[in-house]
Amino acid sequence: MSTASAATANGEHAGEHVTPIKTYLKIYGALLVLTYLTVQVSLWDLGDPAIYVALAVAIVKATLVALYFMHLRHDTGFNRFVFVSSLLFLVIFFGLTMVDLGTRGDVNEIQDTFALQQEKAARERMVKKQAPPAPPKPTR
Amino acid sequence: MINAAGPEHTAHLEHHFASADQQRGAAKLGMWIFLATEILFFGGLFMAYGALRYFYPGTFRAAHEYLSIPLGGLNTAILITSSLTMALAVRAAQISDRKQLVRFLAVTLLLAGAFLVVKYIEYSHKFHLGLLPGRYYTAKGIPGMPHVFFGVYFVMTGLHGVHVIAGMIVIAWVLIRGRQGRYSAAYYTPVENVGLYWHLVDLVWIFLFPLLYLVR
Repeated sequence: MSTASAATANGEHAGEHVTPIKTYLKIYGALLVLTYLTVQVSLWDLGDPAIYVALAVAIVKATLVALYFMHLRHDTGFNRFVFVSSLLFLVIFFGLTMVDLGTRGDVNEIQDTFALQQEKAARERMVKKQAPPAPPKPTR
Repeated sequence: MINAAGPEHTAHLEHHFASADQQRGAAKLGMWIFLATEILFFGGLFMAYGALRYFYPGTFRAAHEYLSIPLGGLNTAILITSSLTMALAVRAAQISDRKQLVRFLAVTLLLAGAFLVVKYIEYSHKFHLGLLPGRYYTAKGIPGMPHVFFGVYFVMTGLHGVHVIAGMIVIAWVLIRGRQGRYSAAYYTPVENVGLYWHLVDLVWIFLFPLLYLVR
């Protein structure tokens, strides 16, 4: 598979793929371009989809770093498996938590609006006093 | 990242491994498992960001305006560049180029320091304005619950900063040992694993930058 494997002078095979410098520079260029793009896109007011656009660009950048800089492209399947399984658990974690937060209002109106009401109340306080909401003072 | 080199530089192989390849594979697998725990560790904080953003959308939109996109963008570029130089350092070790290895590690270390300098400028500006977490928040003019946003901001970037400092320590360690000529194509596992760690620090920032600085 790997055409340019590192081999030592005494013939001992290190079994590692040596990526050409050109490939590294290309990935580096792509990462910088994507960073510039994500900054530019954030200046347009996309509204709610903005976070998905930003995340999509970040995921592309992260994939490039993992595949090329971290050598996952030429690594063993097991190391790839470890990395991907940690991402899988992140998806379960984020997914189920957001489903929980997003559907609380369906069963209990008060829970859904509790935090938003707090924010609204804090904003009203600020407009009234032109001061930020005083966080609860410690009783000590 | 136990250094397997004994008194002689050629004695890389610990007796409980059958071959150098097996030893390297085991060390790398251990590193990847550690990185998986790091991903889950930061994952909890990203979840907190997601939940709090869901709770306080107005606050997050208003408070994030106080983060400097030029400084955050500069730091992104610095970190990506340091990831490139780290990758090139590992490559230099793979081809037994000691001079290049030391040079690229030194540049990586410098860039990591530059990242912290920019972070220091940002932090001192926030401290000056009183844009701080919880009851230390003393700024005026941001509607909603901005002290929650700055709690998220300081914990996430602070923990990332701690990782940068840890990265600098281990990069300095392989730099010193690289200068001593301990790494070559036959044995460069510590360089490789430090590289993996450094790329993970970059990966975390790739998500932190857009989520904290950019997204409205």
